[in-house]
Amino acid sequence: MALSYIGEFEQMVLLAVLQQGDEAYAVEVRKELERSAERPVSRGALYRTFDRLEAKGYLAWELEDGNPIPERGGHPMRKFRVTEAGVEALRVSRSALLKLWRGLDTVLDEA
Amino acid sequence: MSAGDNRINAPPSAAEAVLGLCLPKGPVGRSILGDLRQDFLEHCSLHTVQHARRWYWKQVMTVGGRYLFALRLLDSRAQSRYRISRRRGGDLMGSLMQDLRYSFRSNVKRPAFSLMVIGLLGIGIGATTTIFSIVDAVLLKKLPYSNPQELVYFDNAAHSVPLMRDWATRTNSYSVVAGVWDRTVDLTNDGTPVNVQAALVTEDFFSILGAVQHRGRLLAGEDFEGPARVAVVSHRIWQTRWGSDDETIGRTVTVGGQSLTVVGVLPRSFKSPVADVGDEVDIFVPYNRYDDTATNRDWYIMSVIARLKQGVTQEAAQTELDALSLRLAQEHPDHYKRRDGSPRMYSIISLHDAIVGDVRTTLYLLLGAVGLMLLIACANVANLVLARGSDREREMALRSALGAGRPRVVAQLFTESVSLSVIGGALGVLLAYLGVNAFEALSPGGMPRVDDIAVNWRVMGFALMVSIITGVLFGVVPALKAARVDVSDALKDATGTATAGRGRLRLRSGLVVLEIALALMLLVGAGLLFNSFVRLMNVDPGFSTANITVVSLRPGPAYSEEQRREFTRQYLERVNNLPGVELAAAGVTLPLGTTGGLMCCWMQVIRPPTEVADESTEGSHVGNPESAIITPVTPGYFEVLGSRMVQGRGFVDADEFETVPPAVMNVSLARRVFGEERVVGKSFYFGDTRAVVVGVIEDMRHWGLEREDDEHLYVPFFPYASGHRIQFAVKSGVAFGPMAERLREMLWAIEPDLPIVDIISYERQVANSVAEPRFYSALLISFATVAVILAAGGIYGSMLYAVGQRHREMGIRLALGARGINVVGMIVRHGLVLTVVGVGLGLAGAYAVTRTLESFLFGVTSTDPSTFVAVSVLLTAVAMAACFFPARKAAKTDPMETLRTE
Repeated sequence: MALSYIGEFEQMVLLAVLQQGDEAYAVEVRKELERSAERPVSRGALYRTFDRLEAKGYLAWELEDGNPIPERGGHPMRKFRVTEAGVEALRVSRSALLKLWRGLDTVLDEA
Repeated sequence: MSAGDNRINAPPSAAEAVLGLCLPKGPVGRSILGDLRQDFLEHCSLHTVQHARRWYWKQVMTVGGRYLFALRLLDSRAQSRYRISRRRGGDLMGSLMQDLRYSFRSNVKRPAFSLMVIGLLGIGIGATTTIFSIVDAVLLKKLPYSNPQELVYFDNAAHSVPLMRDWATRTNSYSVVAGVWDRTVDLTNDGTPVNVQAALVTEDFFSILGAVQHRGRLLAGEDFEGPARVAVVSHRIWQTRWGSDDETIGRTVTVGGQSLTVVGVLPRSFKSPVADVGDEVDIFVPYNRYDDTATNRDWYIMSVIARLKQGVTQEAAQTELDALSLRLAQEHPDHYKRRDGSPRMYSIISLHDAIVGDVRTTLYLLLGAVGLMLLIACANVANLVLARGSDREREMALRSALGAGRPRVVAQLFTESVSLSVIGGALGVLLAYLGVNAFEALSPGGMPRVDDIAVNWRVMGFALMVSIITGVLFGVVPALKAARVDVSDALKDATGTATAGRGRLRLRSGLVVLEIALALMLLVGAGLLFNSFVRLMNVDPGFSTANITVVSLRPGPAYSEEQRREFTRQYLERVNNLPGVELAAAGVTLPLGTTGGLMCCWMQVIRPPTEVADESTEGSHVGNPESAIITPVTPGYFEVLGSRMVQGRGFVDADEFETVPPAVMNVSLARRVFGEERVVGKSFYFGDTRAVVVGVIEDMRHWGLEREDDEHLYVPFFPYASGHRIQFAVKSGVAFGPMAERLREMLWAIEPDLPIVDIISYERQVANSVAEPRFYSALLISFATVAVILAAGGIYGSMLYAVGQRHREMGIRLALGARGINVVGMIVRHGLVLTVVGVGLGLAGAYAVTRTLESFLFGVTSTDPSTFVAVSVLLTAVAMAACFFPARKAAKTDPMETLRTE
């Protein structure tokens, strides 16, 4: 199956979810993104990206409503997981980027 | 921060509620709400609570806004997922929106087609809406009186006051009975003298209509005792003459020579219900209940209206009235028995019917005509849609193949046709605006409530409804056809398919037949009216209008009897001496001289002397009294009009001095009163005056070319012309323009202050009297013309299409040696078959419905064979012409080209 193209922010979100492992809740994923990218992330953009990645089949989630924490006002929490397809898409993307990077290290280091 | 504080620091509940509305329902939305709550608490711990609240509101905008915007408008993928969780209704709405977007694109892609459809429907819907707005204002809108459905009108013009009182006191059906006596009077003593419509009204006139004063007061009990001293005026005259001045109350005005104090102003909305069409009553004067006329059964002056008691039906009231009429005929045989001894019966009709009158039939007729036109436009559009069908068929098949169900395809096609027809309807409403204005400007008067005609919300609702129905009508055939398409057939390269074309051709032929049939029906109607109008114009009215100029004057009460007489004498003498003038005469009215129902003459009972000698004679059929219209005329009156004396002579100057006044009867009256051959020299009474017949004149059509003359009694102008109305007829060899100028100058030389009502050529005056039939037949003819053009366009398009379908066949025929003329013949034959079938159906349809035209026709029957034949021939000729051009095109097919492509 041909993988559809994933954008930069989508890639970052997928990677952040992977980084968080078992703690990949939306709030943690956002914090991770802000830490690595060193810029604030719009929650609207983040949630829409979750939806989009889910629609593409790269992201899945399950509800953790076993013991709701009071800070969340009783609302459930979604734990995200990157699917096989998501991992494959990241792999394809990375290899394409690496090919493009090849031999350019000196130029970019100078810049 | 402790856990207890956390509870207090919850995000603003309103913001959370708004956000909840924007987010998708279910776990996704709830988890986002939870995330934001968590973030909110973190903000509280880092900043102030106010800051956190502001931040939360910002999230409502960014997160909520993003979802809202994306779901509704942008991201169709998310939208479809979003929709799954919603009810099915939402799904339907979504597909409708999709259909609308799609039909918009599809219609824009074919601008010529779309504009044609919109134009055709615009014309059809515009015409229909115009007529409907007239129907709405005139027929459907309630009368502006309280409980108008209870108001009834005593039919057939004016009645005597004693009779009105009998109706009020000797019946139980009515809660109130009121009378009104309209007159034209001079308003003087206050600015320039003008003629106004005034009404003498009885006590209950305002209360029966539920009128309320705008200023001052209405008329009260004591106002009706003795000669009138006060008056109530209309809003219109209060505005135009007195500038809406509150000082008007208490002002003294002279109305018809009487000094009256204005005590009240009526509201703008009030209109006297029984005023003549086009006239508005401006001054309401109390009718003196002790007036001489109040006890006289010979004075037919009051238009009478009554309010039915609660629960009393019109039928019950009529039954009671019939019983009373029989009793009255017993009690007053002189007044309420006809010549043949039968009692005079009276009938009541609803006030609405009285006001609307014959117009109802006219309007329904017009509505029917535009309805037919709209149907033809629909058939034309359906034809256009079918012509566009083959490529659409493939498109629809493709959609079916991709999984669109039949209902979905049909819905899509309906959406397309209805969206086009609604745009056509919008154009129609615009055209209706113009149409209504044009109607008001061009209509010859005679249409009641014309001021109320407007394109209002009700009319727009009607236009919308008609548009939708139209869209469904012209969409239904192609839609069903498309839904039945065989997907695999249609998806093959379809350039050569003949089978689909055949079915389509049949359908198109059917539509052409329908168009021709409908056009023929309209054409028959228009033809009958035209035929009838021509006959009306060729009626012998009993007088001649050639080279006659009419001068109408209305010297008011400011002129004494003597002054008026002297002035008339002097003016006639001078005019008769003018070079070029053959003869001039005058009368209180000329035949067809009164338009708009101005009062001119009066009715009086004519009795032969035997009857007078023995008043108690009852049941005798011979010599019973007969009413006649008394018309005072000067010597020369009959001669100017070129009327034929049947017996005896006309008037001479010496007649005015006779002690037993001479009189001239028209043929109808002479026959009614004496029933004998020779009546000259016989004496009779009119009212209390004994007179002698000196001549019998042929009947003249006084009230309309279509109306046989009433019984007329002509008496010498001097001394009997007591009214304020004079009409001069001047026969001359001089052209109308210069003659009118001279007549005007001469009048002013004698009476500089006398307003001239009118100077007009008599021919013109008579033409004006038939303005209504002329207008309506012209209107119907123009509808029929549009219908014929549409039908011709339909048959032309259909033939062109057929020729296109049979292009190869033509080529082969021509290659095999057929001559061009044969091909033309073949196509024309096909067209002829359609036309003949259409004409046949149309004739049958016309035969069934022209009956409704009967009341408009004069001298032709509603099934007049010559009209039916003439319009059939005309329509066939037009249809043949429309076939000829496509046929010629077919004959010019290059056989080589066809064979090459084979």
